[in-house]
This record gives sequence, C-alpha cells and structure tokens, in this order.
Amino acid sequence: MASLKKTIALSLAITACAVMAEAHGGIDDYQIRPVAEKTSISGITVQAIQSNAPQLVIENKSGKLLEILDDDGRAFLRIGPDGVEGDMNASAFYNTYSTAGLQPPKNAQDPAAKPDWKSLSKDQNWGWFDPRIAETAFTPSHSEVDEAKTNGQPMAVANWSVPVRFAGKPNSLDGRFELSSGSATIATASITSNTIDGWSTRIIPGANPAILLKQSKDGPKDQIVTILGERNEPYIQLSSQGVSVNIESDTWRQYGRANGDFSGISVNEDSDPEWMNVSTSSAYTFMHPSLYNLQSSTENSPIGWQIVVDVDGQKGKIEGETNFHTPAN
Amino acid sequence: MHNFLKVTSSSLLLTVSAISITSFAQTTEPTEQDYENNSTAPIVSGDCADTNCAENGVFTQPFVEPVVYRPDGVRQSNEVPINNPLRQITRDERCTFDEEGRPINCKPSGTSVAQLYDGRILYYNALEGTENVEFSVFLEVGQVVVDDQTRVLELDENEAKFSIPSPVTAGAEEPATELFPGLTAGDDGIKNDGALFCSDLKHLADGRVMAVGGTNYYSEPGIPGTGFGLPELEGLDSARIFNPRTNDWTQTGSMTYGRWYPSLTTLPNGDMFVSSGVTKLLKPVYPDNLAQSGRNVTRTETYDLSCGVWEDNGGTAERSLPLYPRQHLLPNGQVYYNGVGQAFNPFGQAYDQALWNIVGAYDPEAGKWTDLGYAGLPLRFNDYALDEVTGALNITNPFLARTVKRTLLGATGSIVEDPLDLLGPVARLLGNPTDLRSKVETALGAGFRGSTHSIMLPLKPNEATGKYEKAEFLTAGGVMGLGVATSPGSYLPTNLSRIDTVNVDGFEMEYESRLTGKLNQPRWYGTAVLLPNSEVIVFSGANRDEVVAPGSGQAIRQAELFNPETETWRPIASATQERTYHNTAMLLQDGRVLIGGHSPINTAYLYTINLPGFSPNDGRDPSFEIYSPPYMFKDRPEIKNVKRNISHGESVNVSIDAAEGEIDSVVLVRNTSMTHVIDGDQRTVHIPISSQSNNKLKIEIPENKAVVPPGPYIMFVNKKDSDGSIVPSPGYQVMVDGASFQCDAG
Repeated sequence: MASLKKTIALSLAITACAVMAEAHGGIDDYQIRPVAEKTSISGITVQAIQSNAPQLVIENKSGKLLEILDDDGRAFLRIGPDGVEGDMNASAFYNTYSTAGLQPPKNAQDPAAKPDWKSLSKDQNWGWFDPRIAETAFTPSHSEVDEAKTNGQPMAVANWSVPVRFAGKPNSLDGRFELSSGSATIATASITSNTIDGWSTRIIPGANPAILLKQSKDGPKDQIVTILGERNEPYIQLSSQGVSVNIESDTWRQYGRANGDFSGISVNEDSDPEWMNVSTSSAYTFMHPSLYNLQSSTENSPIGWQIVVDVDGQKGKIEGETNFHTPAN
Repeated sequence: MHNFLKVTSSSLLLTVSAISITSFAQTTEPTEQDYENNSTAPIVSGDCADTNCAENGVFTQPFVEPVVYRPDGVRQSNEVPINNPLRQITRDERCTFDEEGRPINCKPSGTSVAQLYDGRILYYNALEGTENVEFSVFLEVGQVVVDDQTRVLELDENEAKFSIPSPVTAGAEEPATELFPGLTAGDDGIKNDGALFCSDLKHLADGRVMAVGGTNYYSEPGIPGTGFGLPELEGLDSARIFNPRTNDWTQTGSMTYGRWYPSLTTLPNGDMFVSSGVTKLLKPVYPDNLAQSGRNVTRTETYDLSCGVWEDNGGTAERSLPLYPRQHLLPNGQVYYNGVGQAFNPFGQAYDQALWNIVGAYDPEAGKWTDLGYAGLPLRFNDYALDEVTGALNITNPFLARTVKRTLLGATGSIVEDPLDLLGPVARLLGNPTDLRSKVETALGAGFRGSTHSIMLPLKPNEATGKYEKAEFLTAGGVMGLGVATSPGSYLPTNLSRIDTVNVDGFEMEYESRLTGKLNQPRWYGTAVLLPNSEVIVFSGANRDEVVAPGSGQAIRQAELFNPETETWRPIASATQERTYHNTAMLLQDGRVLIGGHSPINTAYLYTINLPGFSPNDGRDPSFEIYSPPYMFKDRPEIKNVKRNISHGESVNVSIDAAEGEIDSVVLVRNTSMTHVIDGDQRTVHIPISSQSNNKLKIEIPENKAVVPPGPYIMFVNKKDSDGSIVPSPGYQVMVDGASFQCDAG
C-alpha cells in the first residue's frame, strides 16, 4: 500500500508539472520524454532527468575517465576521478551548458581548435543539456500519437544515443524516447448534477480540480453528508457543526489536505472510520480521485464522473463531466 | 514554462550579435572605516515646477549609499573558473571591480524593508553575488550567490545616512542540513547557507524585527537515484532577530520546517504564525515524506514570543498554500488567506494547487481552517461587474444582447454565488455552460492571483456596536490563471481590481467580493501602500511576468492612486528608476513613501542577453527614492504630544495643532515590514475619538488585541480639507503593548 501511495503522490506531482510546463509554451497534444537505459559501463550511473529541459546527468565512480563526445567525435566534457573538465574550445560545451545553449565564443567556432580543458568541478558528476535527448530531437508520426492516445500509457517510440569514450575506448550512453498523450490537453471539469439538497457545489479549477461543497444558509441543520472515497469508504463528513475526515480512509491519505501526520503509515482497510475534525465551518474544498486519471478519447467529447455521497443514510451523488481541449496557442 | 523559455531564449540568442565589454580599473576594497567616513548621501527633492505636486505628488531624485562595502568579500572560490566573453557587466557605480573589470562586491538593494520604531529603516538585499555569474544564474546559483547583506538607513529631509548591522549578513550560516540520509547540504565552503533572501520579516511586539526562513544555496551532489549536479535553493528553518537598540542580529529558535517564501502574521498575543514556503524550490521531492513532495510546506507553525521557540500546529492546521500567501489578521483573531500569492516554481506547482483558489481563515485557538469561498465569488454585482460580464459575453445578436443587459441590470446590487445564475434562462442561449462559466469568471478576475498585493483597507468600528466587524482587502493587477492551470498563470498581468470583504461575527465569517475601477495599465508585481488618509498607491512593477520570462517586460515607473470613495484608480507621478522584481515601498513616519528594491533575474536566466527597450540585464539597483503624496503639499494638522506606550482599552490624550473640530479621524498604522509585495501585518485602524476640544483629543484604544495586535504603530490625525480631501498629520511613533514576555513553558 505504501508504494501505491508513493506512486500516486508522485504521479500527481508529475502530472501537474507537465500540465504547468505546457501552460506557458506551445501546446501540443503529445509529450516526448527521454529515458536513459542502464549503462553496462561499470561504475557509471546515467540519468535523463527533467529540470527546466531534459538533462543528462552522469556519476562516474569507476575511477576511469569518461569523455562525452559531440556528433563529430570531439570530446567536450571529461568526467573522471579528478573531477569534471570542459573543453573551452569546443562549441558543444557552450551548446549544452544551458537550456537554450550559449553562443560559442570565436575561438570555439573552429572545429579544428586545440582543446582547452578547464576544471568545472572537483566532483565526479555533471549534468548538461544535450540536444540529442531534447524533445525536439524526435517528432512522432500522427499514427504514433494516435496510438499513444489510445493506449493512454507512455510508449517507446525511438532511441537516442550519445557517443562517449570510456577508458579510451568508444562506447555510448543510450536510451529511448517515450511518447505520451493527454498531458498537453487542458481538462475542464464541471458539475452536471448534485443531489444533495441544501448544499451547493462548485468546481475549483486547477491541473487537478477540486470541489467546494458548502451548506446553504437555509440548509438543514441536522443533516450529515458523507463523501465516499475511492473504495466507497467514508472519506469526508460535513454537517452544520463542521467537517471531519476519516484518517483511516486511503483516499484521505492520498488526497487529503492535512495528511502530514500520516505519511508513510498504512491504512487499515478493515477498520471503522476514525474521524478527525478539521474545520468548524460547513464548507470544505476537497480533491477526489474520481476527477483524475480520466482517459480522454476525443476532443469535446466529455467524460462523465461521479462522486458518491451518503446523506443521512441515503445514497446521493455529485455528477460531473470533464472535457478535454487543446487550447489555442 | 520550459518550452516558452526555450523558444524565447533561443530566438533572443540570435539577436545578440555584438556585445561590448567595458574596461574597468581595479578598485580598492574600502574598509569599514572608509564606509563610516562616507556613509551619507544627499537627498535631492523632486521638482514641482514641471509637475502638479498637489495633484500627483512627486519623487525625490534617487539616492544610494556612497561606498561599496562587504567585510568578507562576496567572490568565492568559484568552481567554474571560466570567463564568459559574452557576459554583461553590471554598472560600475554599483560595484567594486577586479583588474579584469569583473565585479567583486556590489551594493545591497532594499528588497526587504522595515520601518523601525526609532525612525530608522532596516533593509536587506536579495540575490547577492549574482553579479559573479558567468553564464546562467540558473545553473551557477549554488556556486556564486552568497548570503545577503543588511543595512540600516536613517533619513532626514536632505540626507540619508547608512550604517552596517552586526553581523552584516544576520549570521545564519548554519550547520549542514541533512537532505537525504548521509547526504548534506551547506558544507560546500561557500558562505551562502544562510541567506536572508526569500525570508519574511515582521516586527515583534517589543519593536525588534524577526526574519524567518531564507535560502541555502548549493549544487546538489550526486547520489544514485536522484538528480545530481543541479543547483538547489533550500528553504531555511532559521529565525533571526534584529535589535534596533544594539544594531545586532541574533539567532532565535528554529522552525521544524525549512521555508523559502513563507508568510508571517502577528497573532493577538504577539506570537507569530508562519505558513507555506517550500523546502526545496527546484526539486520539491522528499523521499522521506512523499505527501509533501510536489507542493509547498503545508504545516504551519507558531512562534512563542515569550519562550523564543516554534511549535508545529499539527495536522488539522495544515493547508496547501502558494508561496508568500497574502494573509492578514481578522478582527476575530483568525488569520485570513486572500487567494493571492507567488507561484513560480519552475517545474510546476503543487499537485493540489486548485486549493489555492479558496480564500480561508485559520483559527489559532482551534488550529483549524475555514473555507470561505472561491476567490472573487460570491460577488456583489455592481456596474464594474456588469461591464466585465457583458464584455466577456460579446453577444452579436442585438436582441439577445439587450435581453442579457436588461437581465444583468436587474441583478445590480445583489450577491451572486455563480454569475451564470444571473443570466437565468437566457444562459442556455449563450452556448456551453462550462465555457461560459470559465469566460465569465475570467472576466471577473475570479480565482487565485499571483505576484500582486493584498492591502487590508482601514479597519473601522461599526458605528452602532462600536465593534470592528468587517475587514476589506484590495487586490489589483497581478497574473491570473490560464484556464484550468491556476498558476503560475498568465504571462500577461491583468488590470482588474477587486475588494474582498470578510464580515465577522465572533467565529462566524461571511465572504464576498466586488470589482472596483480598473488599473490604468496592467501591472505585475506592483507594491501597494495604504496611506493614512485611506488612499492606496501602487508603485513599480512591470507589464510582463519577469519571473516567467525575465528581461522581456517593460518596467512601469508611473504610480497609480486608488480613491477609496470612488473606488477608482488614476495615474500620478513617475519614479526615476525602473524597479521590477523585488521592489519595495513603505510608508514613512512623516507620511512620505520610501521606494526601493529591484533585484531582477537576468534576462532569460542568462548573463549574455540584453534586449534593447526591455528590462535591462544590469543587476540590482541599490538606490532609493522618496515619494511625497499630494497631501504633503497641503496644510497639515500636527500631533504635538502623545504618550509613547499605550495599552489596549486605554483612553489616551493627544495634543494636536488643529482648529476646533477639524480632526476627522485618528488612525494607527502598523509599522511596515515588507518584502516580495507582502506585509502580513499591514493594517490601519481607525481609533474612536471620545472627545475633541482646544487642541486636545481623547481617543479610545480598542480592547480587542486582534484589531490592534501588540507592536509598533505610527499615529496620524486626519483632517478634512476644504476640497473634501483627507489630509494626515506627520506621524507619531507609539508602541501598543499587550504581549507577554514571561515564558510559561515548564
């Protein structure tokens, strides 16, 4: 269970990141992500990570020299037991130093210029923005994008390779590009029906939307509304007296607003609800898994969802739909 | 965001064809004695010959500390010993330089400021050392940025005197922090593990100033399973206190959580509430606490003023908030979050950032939050809202347009939870309700807003009950969400302006919002100041989000003034200097306003780009200017005498110089302590006048400590001028006590 929670917590974060990253850029209906394969070179760890652009990061504990080569076979980085060096006369050093690359100085524009190695770090690790793993290094076909949409899962669509020399011998760092769809679209959720009399509902927009449930001024004073979680377990309870959450709800542990006390502690699925009062008001905004991980099919074809509630022992529901759009650039 | 940056910076790179490097002679590093001997700068008044000062006010000429000084030097052992031939060199008057013309030390900028009770001003720097970046601030920040310097500034009409507190960097160079088991940060030998940058600062009840949080810069070393070789800005758990009596900084208790961009608010008993901040800015992933990964610190803590320690407020007091959430103390003692904050982690925001749209209040006694509404809704529908909604609907069918207008006109004055409800049956004729709702709410500026101010308007007692039952908050400009992506939001700022109201009746609270007149120009990162006469002025900022795409915006030097009677904004005087990111503005004791700050991110996060006509890539601005509002040019009343220390519930005599019955109101203005467009203690309280005769006033200090939390206040008396305008006196510094300094902890 703990690993499930971790996966969800991180995937939520990553989803949000992806959507946010797209919010400021050109919005496509797919995303390309480089993934590094485990290298067979002993003592070398390689990762393709996403910082403000895809970046290759290397740790070299082999005790031998690893040289990173440009497309013409010229080394521009050396990572070895004495630290990291860069060739100040290699244009690739400048091109890979930052996300957009730096304009190489004149002396680095001559491919035949003698190497000028300068120390960059005493550590045995380094990161650089190699254009060979940039998302622009590969453009998927329409059919691949369609397939990724249908699958709903990232799929490997191409390989990348960065030539290196290890202990003086040619080698390479290798990996694949994974294609995923959906993250570049914007999802707009709305509530289509609410069967809880005396309570108003509102979608709160966000990469992962939330719902504000609020008792109307003239709402019934003795009514207890229980929001059920992912496994239909009691999740959140509201009344005119306040709001309580079931800390034995796995949904609460994963999506709750105040779960710091319980991080890493397993839920006992068989236990009775254990309610913790979190607010004295009769309004609460919550996240609910029913609104997430929806698979978009086609644009402007909304997908319905529902949240089951218990109102004084009677089942009710909040129903809504999520529409997927590709916003104009 | 990275796509935008990539496209922008790539294209910008091509435009940089010729960059000249100026030659500099090596300058001798001044000593502390040199500094003391040259610590005074003249202040040159603004010229009213060219401008209508009585209408628009006027700025002084900029002034700056005369000598560059840092006792231990900024430049560190840089592990990237490469000189970038394309690098922009900062302006020479701001720094000392080595023989190659490269900056060694630069003057600090007033990016965080506090009006001390003794009349002096404490300020400190941001991003100190960025002048030593060779290529990209993003990549080198952990290597070159160092702890920020502090200064004390003493002003009179013609002169500014600068002095250096001890230690100059506030002394929070901490032991190494454990990031992961066996892996520590803060041991890289560079003095950048205790920077004040990105802390929040507040006056304590006794007039000292506490700075909480801040930055530990480092390059994250490599360990398998994590990213490595990358810079990180880690939020500090430190809290330090500046004592104006001794000019010294000392350390007090540390928080449980490291916080970068936290918010502080003083509680009624003088204790300090802190929320939000992020522990790791660039990669907020914490393997030992995954629930906290991908979002800011949700735990809140309270500083026990008497014992000097922080206490974790527990699970029910958690809330996911933006960075630097704009929060204020309500008259019922609860801390209100106004749906405004900072939101610019480069790699996305909190996975639950939808919750940032919700305005709420924290009850320190119960340790629980109340959700009050979706920011901007419910809405009191007025003429401004009518204009926005009809404009957003853009109906081309004349008959339908008339029907909608008539329907909306009928709703004027009502409070609406959902603007679509106003349209009633007509709504279905206007298209998809989801799209329509989004369009209307965007037009109304509903939802979370980033990079702007939240000004608490003057607290006034209810005339019938004598109680303070309503708090109002003015928010104008900033960036709004893009559709569902609530933050960091649009790259373009808005000109929308709104007032949020919280009516309190004990623990019961009701929230509503209303639109006001718009700003005359959209503004990102404008710092607002509430004047003693209830007018609000917004200063500085830019016309683009300078964090998303630094260097691509244009600074806004012209201030705008908000008239609380008409609820409209009008342009007034312009400052001399361009101040975009990390600008500050602060009410001075004499009623003028100190303008300072400006510590931008380098254009496109690189040191090799300068875009002609846009925000210059020229580093920090250490200068200040002083703005004189229109009332400075009128006949002002005067406070002759009042006791310095006053208590809650006390009747206080005020000797004044004013005609009989001339005084309209007496206000207490909390001494400013602000940074990053935020002052969580900002407040002006109207104090009831119980009698007025013969140049004497008797005023009644409220008993309610949530209305006047203990600490330093500037008292002003306001008179109504013949033209109907309110003219305040010069201020008079007082201290309102009420805090306990007796530690009861066993």
